[in-house]
Parts: sequence; structure tokens; C-alpha cells
Amino acid sequence: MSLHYIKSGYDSARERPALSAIVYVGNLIMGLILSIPVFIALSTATSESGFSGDMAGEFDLALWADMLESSGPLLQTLVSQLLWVLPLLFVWKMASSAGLIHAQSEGGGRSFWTGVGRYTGKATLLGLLFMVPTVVVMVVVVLIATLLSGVLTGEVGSFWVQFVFTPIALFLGVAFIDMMHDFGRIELIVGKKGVMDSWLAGFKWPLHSSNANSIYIGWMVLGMIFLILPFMLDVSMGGLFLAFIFQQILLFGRAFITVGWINSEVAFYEDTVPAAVELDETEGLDA
Amino acid sequence: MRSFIFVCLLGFVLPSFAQQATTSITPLSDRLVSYTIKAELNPDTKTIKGTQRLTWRNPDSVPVDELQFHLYLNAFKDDKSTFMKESGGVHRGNSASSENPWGGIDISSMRLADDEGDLRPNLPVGSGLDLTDSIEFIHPDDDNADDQTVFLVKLPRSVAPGETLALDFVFESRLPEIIARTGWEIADSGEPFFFVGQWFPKIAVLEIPGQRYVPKDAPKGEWNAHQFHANSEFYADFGTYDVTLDVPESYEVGASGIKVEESIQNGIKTLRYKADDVIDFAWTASPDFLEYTQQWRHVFIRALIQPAHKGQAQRHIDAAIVALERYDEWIGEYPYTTLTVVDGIGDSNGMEYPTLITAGTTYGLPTWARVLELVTIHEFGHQYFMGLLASNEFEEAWLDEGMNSYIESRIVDDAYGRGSVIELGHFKIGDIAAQRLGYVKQKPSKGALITKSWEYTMGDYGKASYAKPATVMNTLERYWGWDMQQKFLKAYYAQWRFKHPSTRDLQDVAEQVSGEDLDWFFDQFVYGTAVVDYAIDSISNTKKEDDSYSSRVRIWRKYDGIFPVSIRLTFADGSVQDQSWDGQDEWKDIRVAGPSRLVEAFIDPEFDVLVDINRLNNRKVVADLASNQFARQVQFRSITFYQKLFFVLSGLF
Ligand SMILES: [Zn+2]
Repeated sequence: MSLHYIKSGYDSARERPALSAIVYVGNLIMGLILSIPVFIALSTATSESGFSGDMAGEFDLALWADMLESSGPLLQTLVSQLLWVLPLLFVWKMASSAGLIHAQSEGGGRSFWTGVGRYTGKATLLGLLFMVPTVVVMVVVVLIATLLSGVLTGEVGSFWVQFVFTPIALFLGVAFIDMMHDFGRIELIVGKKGVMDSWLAGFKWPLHSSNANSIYIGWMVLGMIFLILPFMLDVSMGGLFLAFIFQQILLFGRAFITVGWINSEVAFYEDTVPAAVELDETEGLDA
Repeated sequence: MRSFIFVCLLGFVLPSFAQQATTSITPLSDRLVSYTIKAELNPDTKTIKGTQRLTWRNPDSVPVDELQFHLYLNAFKDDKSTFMKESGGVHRGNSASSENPWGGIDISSMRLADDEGDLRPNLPVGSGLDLTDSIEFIHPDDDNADDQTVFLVKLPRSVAPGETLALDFVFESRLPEIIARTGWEIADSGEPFFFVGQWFPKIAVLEIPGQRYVPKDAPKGEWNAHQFHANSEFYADFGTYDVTLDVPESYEVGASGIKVEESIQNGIKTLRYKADDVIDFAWTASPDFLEYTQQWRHVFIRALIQPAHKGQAQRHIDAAIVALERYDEWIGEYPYTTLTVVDGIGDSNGMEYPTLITAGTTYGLPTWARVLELVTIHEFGHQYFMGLLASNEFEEAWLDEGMNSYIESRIVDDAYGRGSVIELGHFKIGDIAAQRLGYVKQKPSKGALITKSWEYTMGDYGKASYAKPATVMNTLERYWGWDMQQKFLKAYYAQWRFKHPSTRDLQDVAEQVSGEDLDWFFDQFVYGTAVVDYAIDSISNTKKEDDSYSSRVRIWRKYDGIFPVSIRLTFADGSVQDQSWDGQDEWKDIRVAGPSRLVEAFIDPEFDVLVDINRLNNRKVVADLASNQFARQVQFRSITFYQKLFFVLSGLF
């Protein structure tokens, strides 16, 4: 059953590549903005040094240390940039998810931007509400890890608790909440529920429906593959421009997965809760 | 678990060194001291009851009427010791934390021996032979009257030149919770682990006229006994050790020297070890150890490994062999027939004693992180600098830690490759490069190599005893080439092993071997804190009427350090010109004229002067050849990094 929805998600993402492009470009622009001070700092430090070509060729600890020493203050601004990039990323995630849900609801063909315009505010509120369970899950995982480290003592035990259990539990816990959040957002946009109702309704999905879980997990695994591959590419052939291009292709693929993922969830929601849908005014396909 | 790997080649039976502590049947050192110790470990009270006969030969040409001794364990007696005051209860990051972490040595009896045979501490004390009440704690380095790590006794009669004196001790050592590489710790198994170092009353070194810095014409020798400091290590004379240990039957023991006897009676295992031509004796005991052994030439290598690390046992042995092979080739023979590598617990790790070293690793340590190999090679190297050359580690720590760090960095880079300590994809950190950073980016103008170890501030000790000397010696090697460096190292070892060389002795050897006066080098980088940084300030070209160019490079010596360097000039037509410069002037203009304009100037293109604190400013190109290739590349990589990060973070909300 869940394969059917994944297939539908894949078809939808293929039919409307512009949606993947929006997600991809949004991410790219934020990365680009953050990379500008990096460029300026490194260019100032190395362009006339004559070492630029050597440093591009292989990692040289001595030159890197000198470079970081001379451009330290500028690179430190990177950290402060995260302060505004993180909220921006949050709002972008809420807006783009709202757009993707809206665009792919009711058989698809609806406007991405209308969804963004109409639901970003509410989706952001909902997103803030879902931070509560995310934080709760994190606290619970840390508590369990603390308790566990009382049982799994010693060097081997703490290795497993710290490097295996805790990251996996955090990952699964956060994914669990993220899935609730996905369906909560669909309740908000497709089900036309209020923010509070959507929040509460979101919680029941992972518990009620095994299909919802399989759809989420299926796309999550694909999503992970499309993030791990570029990481591996970066480690193995990092400096080459070709690696950058390949990574961009994979990251476009990752954006494609986001589109398909949301489509599957929307389609599944609509099949499961058909009554809640009420027709909107007709909209053009502008994205 | 035991795994024995026997190496037998065509019936060639391993040399009969098995019952010999060294490869020599004659003494290798002057053996001024001998220790015969019987010790009994009580694992419940964490104490060792011991009896000890110490013999000491007066090396001086005049009689000696006073002896000085170290009781190193008293550094951990309470928080009033000099060690504890200096470290604030902390040594190299570890602090005493349990309910009864303290240690110490109590001597219940010390007396002149009145017989020639084995120590018989219950003999009635002859009149005038008992010295117990004459023990007087002294504090030669500071005014801390509470420090009890050094004591002296005035002898009832003097010891004639060349005469051997025998002293009998009855002592009890209380081991501290592991601090400064010695003591006990409860292992993950719940069983105690013991690492027993600096645990018995140890006679100090009487430096005679002409030895190290005692003037040749001094009327008599001087005791060189320092308190145990937070930053200091040790100093002792060579001798022989015959040590019998009683431990619970289930314990696996590792110790300096060779095991000559083993028996079990009433649940107690008795082991007897002999170590010859060494300056110390340490041992370790734990019921948890797994033993792995391998023979390398004349050396029986034994690794005692914590159960959690059994997957890394071979890494310990392999690293020891990597070190043995290179020391043998580069410096000289390892004369001992055993080497025990101990995988200890906590702060016992990363320490050296004669033929016994502790390494240290963590569960799951990946093979691309060669910190285990690095620490094993480092601690092995101390067999030469701490053990065989045995410099005064209190006063000239760099001769031990620094020379050792130099060879360690050379071995690690040679054996595993130039970026091998951390080797993750394109991200590579090599040992020589890391040692260099530990100096050039850590206030390089502070902390001379020649400083008494307790006179450093904490940060400067590490830099000036490890990272800086490693970098200084790597620079010397590049200055005159590896062939000359190897001659120097071999000569230094051959002339000075078993003789406690000083910095001056090391410089003398370097000068003898090379025929070069090296004051300029030693004054700046060993005795002084000169900082070297050459930079290309500017390049300018003027086109002349005949279409040829007159070009100028301006070089800036930014600090006080002076080092001869070569400068590579590259011209637009691709031609290259190398110039050498003595590096003396603060500003130096190099002028050249030719058919082509100068496009690049590069000081020290081969990176021979590792002490230069900034390499990036060593090179410059003219503005029209400036390249953003690297900046662009990192920018692209950071874009993809952020893109991936954003996708991951998006999952959080
Ligand atoms: Zn060391």
C-alpha cells in the first residue's frame, strides 16, 4: 500500500520539477549567502600568496593554520551568521512545506506560492508548537541515556550509550515528531483545521496508521541516501569542481525527494480523511 | 587469553638472552647503585610493604658524609606538597577525586647494613647503624617546609671515594588513586588496577666535578636532588635491580627487566625480576590484563591489554616494532631484551619506565586515528632519552621529552606517511606538522628549552619540552640534511648513553660531528626564545627603455630570529632563480634585472625552516597573477556543506 503512495509522490515530483527546483534553489541561496564571507576571508588571505593553487590541491595544516590566524575575525562572523540563518531556515521550511502541501493537494496542479502566501503564518505557529514535543523527546532521550549509562557502565558501555544509542534514539525521536509535524501541517492546510487542532491531530498519525509510518520511513531512507552520498563524495574527491557538480545533482535529487515525500503524505491523508476536504477557488499552476 | 607467536628460522633458536636483561654479558653502565627489593602488594589497602637493600658507590674523589634521597610518592601525601600546590591537585588534566586518593612512603627503618648478605631487616640494630631518626626532609627548590619528597641523612661515618655503602630500608608505600602516572584505579571489571612507579626510597644523583654543570675544579660533587614538581619528571643513576613481588595469584604482572622466577603458594604469586643498567624499576598488576607477546630480534615484546581493547592488541605490538626498527637504524641498538607495553587505565597511560611503557587507547579507536601508535612510539622513544641517555629531566626536560618528540614525529611520518596521525579522506594531520603548530601558534616567544621544569608556567612547559624542541630539531635536520643529523644522533647516543648528557654535551657532539660552530642555532632556539618569521613584503617591476625589466623584492624579517634562507624568484617567462640570504637584516631588497618581469618570490620554498612561525607570508605573486582558486574551492565546498546541513536541520522542524 505505502509503495503506491511513494510511487504517486515520485510521479508528482517528476511532473512538476519546478517544485523540486524551488526547494533546491531556496537551500542553495542560503548556502551561497553563508559562503560569501568564507570566500572573502580566504581570498584576502591567500589570493596574492602564491599558495592558492597548492592549497586547492591538498590540505596543508601549516598554511591552513596561518590562514585561519590571519582571517580568524572574519571567519568568526560565520558563527554569528548562523543566528539569523537558523530562524530563516525555519521559516523557509514552514513556507516551502505549506507551498508543497497546497500545490499537491486535491490531485495536484495547485499553486505553490498561494500555499506559501496563505499558510506560512499558521504553519510557522504550528512549527513553533511542534518544537515543544521535539524538545521533550530530546530531554527524554538524554534522560534515558543518563539512566542507561548507569547500567551500561565502563568504557564499552559508555561507548555504546554515547556513540550508538544516543544518536540513534535522538534521530528516531526527532523523526517521529517530524512525521507528526508533517501530518499536522496537512491537517492545517488540507484538513482546514485550526493551528491548535492540527497540532493535536498531528500526534495521532504515527500511532494510528502503519501506512503513514511506512511512507515516512520509506522517504526518510531515500532522503538519507541522498545526503550521505554527497557527504561521501565530498570526503573522497572534495576539492574537485566535478564533486561540486555531482553533489548539486544529488542535492537536487534530495529536493525532489522532499517534494515526492510531501505528495505521498498528502495523497495518503486525502485517501484516509476524504470528508475534510472542501473545495477552494480554482488556481493556476504557477509553480 | 594468551597468544604466543614463535619466531623460528630454520632451527635458529633465539639467542640465549632469555635469562639476560641486556644483550651484554658485561655491565653497560657504571652501576653506581643496586636495589634488592622484596615487596608485597595488598590490593585491599592499596599498600606495598617492602624491604630494600640499596648499595651506592661514591663516584667522587673525596669522601661523602651526607646522602640525599627521593620519596616521590610523598608528593601525593596531602595537598600541602609542592606538587599539589603547583598543580592545584591536578596533573595533566587528571585530579584526585576519590575518598582516599592520597599516597606516600613511610620509612619505618633505615640503617647502614651490617652484613654482606641479603637484607635481614629483623636483625638487631647495631649501635650507630640506625639512621631512621636522622631522616631530615629538605626542600631545595622552594620554601615549602611541608614537602617531603626529598630527604637527607648525615652519615655517622663518611664513604670513601669508590667505596660502596649498603643501606637497608623497611618501608610501606601507600599508592594514591592514580595521579601523575602512578597508583591504583578500579577498572570497569570492578577489580583494582595498579601501576606502581616511583614507589620506593630512591637515592638521588651525586654529580661529581666535571659532570653536567658542576665545574671541573669544584672541590667536591653536589647532590642533584629536586622535589617532585607538577611539571617535573626524574633523574637517577644507573644500576641493577633485583625485585621480588608478591601479588594475588590471579594477577597478571608487568615489570621492568626480565622475569627470572615465578611461583605460587597459598594464593600468592611470587615473581622475581632483574633489570640491569637501568635508572628505575616500575611495575603494574591487574587481574584483567590480557597478554600478547611477540619476539623482535633480541627483544621479547609483551603487551598487557585491557579486555575492552583486545582488538587493538596487535596495534600496540606493531607500533613498538615500528619504533624499535627505526631507533635501531637511526640511533643505535636497544640493549635490553624485553619491552612491555601496558594498556593502562586513566592517568597511568602515556608514561615511560625502563623496558616498561604505558600507552593508552579507547574502545572503538578507528585505524585512521593513529594516536595509539603515536603514544606507543613516543613512550618507547623514552627508552633512549629517559632510559639510556638518562638526562636530568628536572632541569633539562627537553633533552628527554623534546628529543623524543622529535624522533617520534620523524618515525610517525616515516612509517605511516606525512599526514598520518589523523587521516580522514583529504583531511590529514601529520605529526611533524602538528608538533610545529604546538610551537609556532602558542606564544612562540615564551619558554626557552633550557628552563627548570618547575619554573615554566604550565602551558610553556608542554610547548618548550615537547612541541618546540621537536620543531627545532626537525629544523636542524633540514638545515644540514638527514645524513648529518643521523651522524649527530648516532654519535650523541654512542658517546653519552649511560652518562646523563646535558644540553652542552649535546651541542658539543653536534659541533664535533659537523665541524660547525652552532652557537647561533643553540643560542636562539635552545637557550633563547628567538622567533623567526620572514615575509615577502612587496614585488615591483620597472620596464626599461630596452624592454628589459628591473625588479625588486622586499623581504621583511618580522621578529628577532635569524635563519639562513633561500629565496626562489620566478619570472614571467617561466625561468627560476634561487638566491640564498643569511637572513640577518630586518629589511632586505633583492634586485634583479633581465628580459622578463618578476612574478613570484618565495622564501624557503622547500619548507626547511620549520621554526618560521608563518609560512603563508613567505610567498607572494604579482597582483595580476593573484588566484582565487583556493578561496573559490572552499566556498563551493562550504556551499554544499551548508546545503546538506540545512536538509538535516530541516528535519528538526
Ligand atoms: Zn614523553
